Amino acid sequence: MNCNRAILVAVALLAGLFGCTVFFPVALPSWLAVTLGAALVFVMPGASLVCLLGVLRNNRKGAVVVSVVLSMTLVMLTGLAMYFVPTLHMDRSRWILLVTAQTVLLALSAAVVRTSGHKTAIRIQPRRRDLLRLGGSLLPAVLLLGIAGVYGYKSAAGMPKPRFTQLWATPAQDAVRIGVTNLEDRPVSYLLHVNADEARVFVYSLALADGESWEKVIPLPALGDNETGKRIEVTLAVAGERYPYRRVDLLLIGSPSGAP
Amino acid sequence: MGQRLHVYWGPQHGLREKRSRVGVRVDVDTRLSTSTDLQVGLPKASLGFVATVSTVGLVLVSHGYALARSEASGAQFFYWFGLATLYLPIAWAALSRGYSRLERFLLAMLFGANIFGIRYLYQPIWFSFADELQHLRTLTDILGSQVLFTHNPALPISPYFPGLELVAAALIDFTGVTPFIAGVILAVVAKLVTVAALYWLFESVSGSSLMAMIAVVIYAANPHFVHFGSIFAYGTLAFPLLIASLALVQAWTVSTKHENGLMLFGALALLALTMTHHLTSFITVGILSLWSLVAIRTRAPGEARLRPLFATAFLVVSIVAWHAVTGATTWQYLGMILSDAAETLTGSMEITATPPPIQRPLGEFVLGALTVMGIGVLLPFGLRRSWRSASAFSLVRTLLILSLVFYVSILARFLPKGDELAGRLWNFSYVGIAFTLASIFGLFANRGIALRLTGAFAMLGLFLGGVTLGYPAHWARLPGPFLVSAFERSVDLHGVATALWESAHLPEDARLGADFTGLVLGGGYGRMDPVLDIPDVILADNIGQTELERLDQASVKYLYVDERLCSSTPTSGFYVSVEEANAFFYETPLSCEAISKFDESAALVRIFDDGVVRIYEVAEHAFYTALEQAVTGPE
Repeated sequence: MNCNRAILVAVALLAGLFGCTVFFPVALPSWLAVTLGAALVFVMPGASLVCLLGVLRNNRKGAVVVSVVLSMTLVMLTGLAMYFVPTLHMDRSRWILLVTAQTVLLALSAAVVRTSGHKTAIRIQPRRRDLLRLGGSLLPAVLLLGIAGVYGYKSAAGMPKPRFTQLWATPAQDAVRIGVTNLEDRPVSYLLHVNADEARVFVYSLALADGESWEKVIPLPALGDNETGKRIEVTLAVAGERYPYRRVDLLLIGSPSGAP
Repeated sequence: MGQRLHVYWGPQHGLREKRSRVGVRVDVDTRLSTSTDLQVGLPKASLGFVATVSTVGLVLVSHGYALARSEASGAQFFYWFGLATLYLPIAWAALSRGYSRLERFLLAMLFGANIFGIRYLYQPIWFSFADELQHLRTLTDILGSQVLFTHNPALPISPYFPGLELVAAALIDFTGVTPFIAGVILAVVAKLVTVAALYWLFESVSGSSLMAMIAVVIYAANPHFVHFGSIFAYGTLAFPLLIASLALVQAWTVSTKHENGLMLFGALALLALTMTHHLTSFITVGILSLWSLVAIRTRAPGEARLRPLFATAFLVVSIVAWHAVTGATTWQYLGMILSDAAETLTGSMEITATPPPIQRPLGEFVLGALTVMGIGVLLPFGLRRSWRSASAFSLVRTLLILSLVFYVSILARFLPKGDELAGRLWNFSYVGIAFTLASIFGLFANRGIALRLTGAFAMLGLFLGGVTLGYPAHWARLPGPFLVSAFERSVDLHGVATALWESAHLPEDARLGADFTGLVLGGGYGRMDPVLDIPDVILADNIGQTELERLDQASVKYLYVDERLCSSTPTSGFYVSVEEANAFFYETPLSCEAISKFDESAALVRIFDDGVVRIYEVAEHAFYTALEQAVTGPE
């Protein structure tokens, strides 16, 4: 693994800057946030520790595996410590600060150790030209991997979806909360009827775009000490159609205080 | 000019060469150029060509999925042809000696990414596997409450092993991605680390990158590698931790320098494993114990011989400490699994309904049977070939013994409820199987084109056979429109949107009765407490006294009812659970009265309706009135 001093300092710098975003929030582009965040969770702390201890220097595969495993382990242990130490809490800011602080500390320590007489193993590095050739030969495969991913995602997202409308009703204080969500893949106009014990208490006309939701709390006449309950029936019809499209109902029980 | 010393454990370079090099790195890549490799002029395809053709296979699989989603013909052809195209070039390259170590490693990593793609492209939009939804609940609990060890009614043991969810939660906090994207990133990282760790382990014990590549490619034939090993579940993360731990202990055992560092890293990996998955950590104890026993009998120097034993002791202590600190109820959970396993193995289990043999397409049945027979026949040859030569390598012998678990898993598969036990065993025993069979398939390497092709096709047969034996079953292997009771094929927009509504509008952890799909979605996205043991109520034709009493006993508050259940017999063999009366023996679909009965009961009110899925609330007051009437009879 390449435990170059400059790289270690760069790792410490990146981790430190990322940690600073807790105090100075910066709207990072999502790709950068994902790249940096994922590197902090999966690579940086573990790789810094591997470099610090100088283990597996002649075993790239082992060093890569151990870097990822150690990074995840440090993240787990940090989360665990935050849970068990009473003064800490598992909130986002503390988690980021603790992991970035570890990374900065490990990377800088490794950078110092690497320049204080640490012996470098005798090995012959692959030529840069050969590495470029290797990377170039894999490029078509990587591009195809991306194409397969995009194609698969688009195919799943474009799959014929069921088209439907959700209607729901839940009890609220002296009222009923009613909601409608249009998932018909087109704008739809609806007519909503609310009946209490077969007496109409509310009629409402609404038009919803695809994916749009509507929600309303409809007050009801006081239930008093109605012990048998008031049956609330809500029906939804598509505008212009005669028959109810959806139907839900509720049974609201009164109490001596009048609360449902 | 570069030079490359390559220790090869094959027909022409025996273990004698390797034995003398234990603990000493002799694989020195001085050039990526292969012109000076030890190969004797045998043709090899260029790395780029192999990688590209293999990834074309993934594109073909993706096209097969697209056809399946639109119910077009040709989906099966593209899927299987894609799998073959993905695997064959890699198997061919694995048997070719012209590649450098780095090239082989990169090919293995690309192979891992392609294999992950097969699972990811199946459902790239939301979690659909039951295990994923169970872990989603633990993850959202941690994110929401910032507390560990919460109650997860969908999988009560999961919060006590939060390794997976801690990493996913950190990823979400650090990057701002959704839980689904975090799960995908974590699963792909776990898959790549699995491949890299396997490669490292196999290379370190065989001393050969060629053998390592062959063993990794054979490991992919593990029936659970493609799908089940790629989902967002604790086993997916625990497995690479197991393999990395073994590789680190092996490195520590043979190392003469940086011993403390290796010991520390091994201990940290074992600690992470303990926090991530109970069963995998217990199996690791088993593997390390076996290794310790074998090591004690070898001629290795004293300290090195005892190191696997130290690792075993450390893991046992960390498991005990973890359970003491967290109060995990693993023993209860594992007790059930072990009791099931013991009863399965002894055949003493009382079976309420013995499932008939799974009806597979004939071609799949034949391929699966040939695969099992092939491994069964080849293993003794591999063992014979490797056993004596490997006397100085305790981990080699441990892996060889581990491969014998294959025969136990095959026996288990023929017993009631044995499928699950076999599946659990395969994931681990295949490490040994892959290593053992690699010594057989190594015979095809460094030979003429015809022999290498024969070897590559035989490996392809194992891989495709593994796919037929694994999960999902053939009816859910390709994505597509909703199927009744077909696990991930039953997860569609109706179900997901309803579960999200539950999460937003119903009290958390409310008791929910439903069919299997409704329970899985309710427990995951819906954050409800799924009630599995009332299939008699869900499937009854009417709601009478017995059903009302069952609902009361089970404290059910809501019922999720999907009217499509009466459109066909259950694809998986059951609607709610394997305990239901007619499980695996349905000849006709559920009656539609069983669906409409909920509307006719005075005890229930319909609070949600999307035209297909309805949610009923048990109206407490009316419920007891109805129950009283049912007991005393109508006045």
